[in-house]
Amino acid sequence: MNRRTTVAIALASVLLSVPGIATADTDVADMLEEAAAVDFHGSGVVMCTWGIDSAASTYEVTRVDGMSMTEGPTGSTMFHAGISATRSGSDWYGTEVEEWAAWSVSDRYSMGETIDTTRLGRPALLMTILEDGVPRARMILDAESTVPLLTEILDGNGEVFRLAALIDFEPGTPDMADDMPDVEVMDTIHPMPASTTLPDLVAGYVRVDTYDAGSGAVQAFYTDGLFSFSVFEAKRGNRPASFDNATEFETNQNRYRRIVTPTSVWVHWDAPDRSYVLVGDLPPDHLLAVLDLLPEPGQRGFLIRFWRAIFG
Amino acid sequence: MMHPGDLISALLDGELTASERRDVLTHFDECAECRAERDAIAAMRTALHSLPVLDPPAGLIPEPTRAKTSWWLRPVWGWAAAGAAALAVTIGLVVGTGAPPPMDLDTFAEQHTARVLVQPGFQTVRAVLEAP
Repeated sequence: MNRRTTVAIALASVLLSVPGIATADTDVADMLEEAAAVDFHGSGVVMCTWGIDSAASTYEVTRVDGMSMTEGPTGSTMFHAGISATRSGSDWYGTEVEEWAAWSVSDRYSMGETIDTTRLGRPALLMTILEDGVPRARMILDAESTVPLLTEILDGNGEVFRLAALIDFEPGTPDMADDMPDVEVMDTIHPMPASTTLPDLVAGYVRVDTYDAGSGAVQAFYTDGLFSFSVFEAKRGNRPASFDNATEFETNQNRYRRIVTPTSVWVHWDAPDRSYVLVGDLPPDHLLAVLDLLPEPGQRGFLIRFWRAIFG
Repeated sequence: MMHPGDLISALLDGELTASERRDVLTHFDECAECRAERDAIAAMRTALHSLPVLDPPAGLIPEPTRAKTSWWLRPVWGWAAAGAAALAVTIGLVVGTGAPPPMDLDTFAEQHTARVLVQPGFQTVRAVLEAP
């Protein structure tokens, strides 16, 4: 048993035996790892709101023996043993990440006060995650299993940006444990550590991994341990049709297009020589700070347009 | 809308989307400065395209004496340079002008989800449920 597991179990024991204590010194990472290892089945709703854009979806989530499966109206995603898979008909097609960096949570986050409450008729704990002392997320955990029954992510104004709430929760090993689907691994994501000019650090997010995204595109994965996003950098080209009617927004006098989905925000822009898509779960104030430090949108100048017209 | 800047050139090249084109044209209705810039760019492009190819008048360039002609100005090297330039342009047109493949958001969603899921997370739904 490694140190982190030992600390996590000790933390869970403290939380369960002495509910209501202040846990400002609690290690956020340990709490998250503990909650991720619990078997349960539940269904709920997840929604995301940013300005005039909002989206919501129902979902079912199942965790058993380290496997997690999330099913929504438009598809299903499963994760087990380092492989994520999506379902197509009755088959599952997997994607394996070849290498990834160690995980750590930014020291700008800390645990706030813990308060006893109830949720879905069960004893629960209301916990707050603070960012530099200001609430960034509120969670209601099932007191027995530590599974998050409700998660609220707050934007820079303290308003709820994303909410995920279980409306049905069954702790313990679900029936499907004996019926694990077979997954055929179709893709492997290979690291490409030196193939992008994107910065190593943006607004507190670290570029921990860089991968080949196919067709000459590069995926740069950033995380601060709590939130994460990928920036896909490709040769400047046609904008994906999904963004044609997307909401335009402006930051630092630059214009972008965004699409809000229940679980993530997508942003597209064209820099003079490259095109970019960002996808992630980070809150809007973080996202704007990140965009300000990434390559800026812009049109090609006359000479570049002339050159590209001839040489592509 | 701010002054469109390089969007004016893109407009004249027909490279703007419908909404961008609408924004720029609306801006022209309100901004005489940008209308003037548009007219100037359009006039310059028209002038460049309509310039006749003229032969220099006789005597404008002194005829060099053969003895003073450098080796790199001799006709054989001029033709070689012209040939190389033509070859480069041809290669560029044949090899380099292919449109880049469209950005595949489904693939991006799968790759992002795959990477997200290898680390613990505090949100109940961590997978990208749908690509736009």
